[in-house]
Amino acid sequence: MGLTAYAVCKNYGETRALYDVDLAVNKGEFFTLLGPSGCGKTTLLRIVAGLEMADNGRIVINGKDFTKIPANRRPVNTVFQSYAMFPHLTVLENVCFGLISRRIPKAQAIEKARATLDLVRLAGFEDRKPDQLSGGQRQRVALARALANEPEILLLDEPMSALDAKLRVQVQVELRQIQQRLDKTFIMVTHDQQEALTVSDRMAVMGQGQVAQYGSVREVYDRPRNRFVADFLQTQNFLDAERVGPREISTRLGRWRLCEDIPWEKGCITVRPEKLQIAREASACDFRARVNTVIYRGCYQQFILDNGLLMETETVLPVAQGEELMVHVPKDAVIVLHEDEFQRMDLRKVK
Amino acid sequence: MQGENLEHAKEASTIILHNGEMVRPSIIRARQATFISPGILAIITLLALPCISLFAVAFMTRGQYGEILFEPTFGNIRRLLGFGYFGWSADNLLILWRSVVVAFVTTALCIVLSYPLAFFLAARPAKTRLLWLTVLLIPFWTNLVIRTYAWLLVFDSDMPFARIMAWLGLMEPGTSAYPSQFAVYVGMVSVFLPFVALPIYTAVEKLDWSIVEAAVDLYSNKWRVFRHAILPQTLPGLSVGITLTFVPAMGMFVVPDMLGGARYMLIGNLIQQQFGTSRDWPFGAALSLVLMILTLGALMATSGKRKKGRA
Repeated sequence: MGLTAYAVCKNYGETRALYDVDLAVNKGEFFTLLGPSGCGKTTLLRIVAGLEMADNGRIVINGKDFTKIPANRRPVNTVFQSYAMFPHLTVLENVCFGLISRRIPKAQAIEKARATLDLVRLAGFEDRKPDQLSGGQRQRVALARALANEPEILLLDEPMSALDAKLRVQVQVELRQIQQRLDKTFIMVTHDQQEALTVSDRMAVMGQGQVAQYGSVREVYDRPRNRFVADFLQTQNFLDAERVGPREISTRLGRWRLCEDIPWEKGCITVRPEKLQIAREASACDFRARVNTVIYRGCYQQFILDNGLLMETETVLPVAQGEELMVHVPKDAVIVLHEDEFQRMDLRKVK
Repeated sequence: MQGENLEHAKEASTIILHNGEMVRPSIIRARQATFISPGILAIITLLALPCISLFAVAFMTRGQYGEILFEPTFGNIRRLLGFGYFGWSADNLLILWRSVVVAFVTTALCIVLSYPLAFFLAARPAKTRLLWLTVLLIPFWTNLVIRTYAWLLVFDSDMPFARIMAWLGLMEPGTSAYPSQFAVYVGMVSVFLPFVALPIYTAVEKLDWSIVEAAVDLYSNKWRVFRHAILPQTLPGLSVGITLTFVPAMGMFVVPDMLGGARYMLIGNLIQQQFGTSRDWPFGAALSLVLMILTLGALMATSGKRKKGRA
C-alpha cells in the first residue's frame, strides 16, 4: 500500500475541515483528490505532506506510521500551487535543494538534478533564475525539484491552476507520462474534473470534509453514487423517481427499465445528456419532447428540451428549434443515486 | 516615452508632442529645472554648504580663545591620528575603533533580537497586534535623554537588577550596574531596536509562507529554512534596518556618555567635547569628517554587497 490514511480528522476552530477520512492509495498509482473549493482536499494533502498535523487519525506511508513525524523527515515531496521557487537560487540550485539538505555529496546531487531536469525537458535552463522562466517552465522546475528527491509519494497541490487552458492539457498528458515512466505514487489535488479524468487511475471525490466516493476514474464517472458526486461530475439531468418493479421506475416522463437494483421506494436518478438517444422507431421511444434551444458546440450539439432535460448528440443533426423528438433512454444510462448519510448531515460544524 | 521624445528631438527648433501639448524641448527642460529647483536649493543650503564649511574648518587652526583662525594646517588630522605634543598615542584611534565596534555589535544584537520579535508580532491576531506594536513604539516616541535616565534608575544599586546580580555573585554588592559596557549596550539596543524590528516586521508580514513550507518539505533543518526561505525574503527590511541603526549608532553620544561614564568614550562624545567644553572647532570638524567618511564607506560596502547579491 502506498498510502493509507485512517480516520483523519482536522478542525480549524469551529469549522470542520476533515471528518473521519479513510483513504488507501496503491503503490505506483496516480490518485486524485477531486472536489469543490473548501471540501478539505488540500488540507488532506497537507496532512500527508506533514505541513499540517491531523487532530486525529493515522498516516501510514509504505507500511510505516508517519502521523507524528514532521514534514522534513517524511519521504514525500510536494509540488506547490504557487510553485514556491527559491527566488535567489538558480534552477539547478532549486532542484538540488532537497538533495543538499539531506547531505548528499554535491557532485552526485548536481548529476541527479541534471537528470531530473532532462526528464522534465528543461535541460539548458540550469543557470536561469525563477523570474526568468515562464509559468509552464516554473511549473516543471517545481516538479523536478520534488522528483529529484525520489520521494515515495509525490504530492501535487493544484499544480496546473496557474497555467492557461491550452498548456494545461499538454502538461496533464506529460505529467501522466512521467508518472508512468517513473512508476511512482502521485497524489494530486484538483477541482477540475477533466484534469482528474485525464491523469488519474483512481480518484476520490470529496465534499464537506469527507470522501463522498472513491474508486477508479471510470467507476466514479460512470456510476456516481450520490447526488453530490453526480452534481459535481455534471451529470446534468436529475429526476425524482418511484420504484414500481424490481428494476423498473416511474418518473414524470414515464416508466423506465434499468439494469441495476433500486435500493429505495422513492428517490432520485440521473442521466448524462450524451447517453440520451434519438429513437428511430416509436417502439424504442421512452418519452417525447420538444426542442427549446439548439446549441452548436463544434464537435457535438446540445438540445435543451421543453421538459428541462439536456441532451447531447455526437453528430451534428439537422434538428430545428421547436421540433418534437422521440428520445430513447438506454437501460444502462440511468444512474440510481443512493441517498447517503453524506448529503443529509451538516458536517461543517463541530458539535 | 517623454524622455525618448526629448532625445529624438535634437534640434532646438523641433516641436514635439508632450503630454498633449505642442512644445519645444528646451521649454520642457526649463520647466523641469524650475520644478526641481526648490529641492536643489534645500540640498545646497542645508547639506552641501555645511559639508563644505566642515571640510574647510577641519584644516584651520584653533585660536588661543577657541576661535577659528584661517591658517591652513594638517595639524588636526595629525592629532587625530595620534601625533600629539607628547609623542604618538593610540587614544583617538582607539576611540574610533571602539565606536565602530559598538555600532557593529549594537546592530548585530538588534538583528538577533528583531527576528523573533518580528515573528512574534506577525503571529499576534489582528486585534492585539496594534497593542504590541504600540508597546514597541512608546519608547521610540519618548525623549532619548529621558529614556536613558530611566536605564540609570533601573541599573541603580538599590534597584532589583543590581541586587539580583549581587545575590548571584556577578556584581559587587552595593554598586550600580553603570557605568559599564553592558549598560551602554543595553541602552544602545533599546534605542535602535525599533529601527531594525519594524522594517523586518513589515517584511515578515508579507512573507510568502509557501516558500518556507517548500524548504521544510525539502528536508531543511531550521537554519536552512531561515537561510533560504526567510532571509532572502526579509533582506530588503533587514538592510533598511542596518542602515538606520549602524549610521546613527556610530555618532551616538548621549547613551555612552550617561551609561558608559567618562572613560568609555566614543567618537560622538569626543566630537561633542570639541564643540562644547574644549572649544576646539577645527579638531571637532576633522573628527566629524572622519566619522562621515567611515559611515559613507560602511554604507557603500553594504549597498555594494546588496547589488552583488541581486545579480
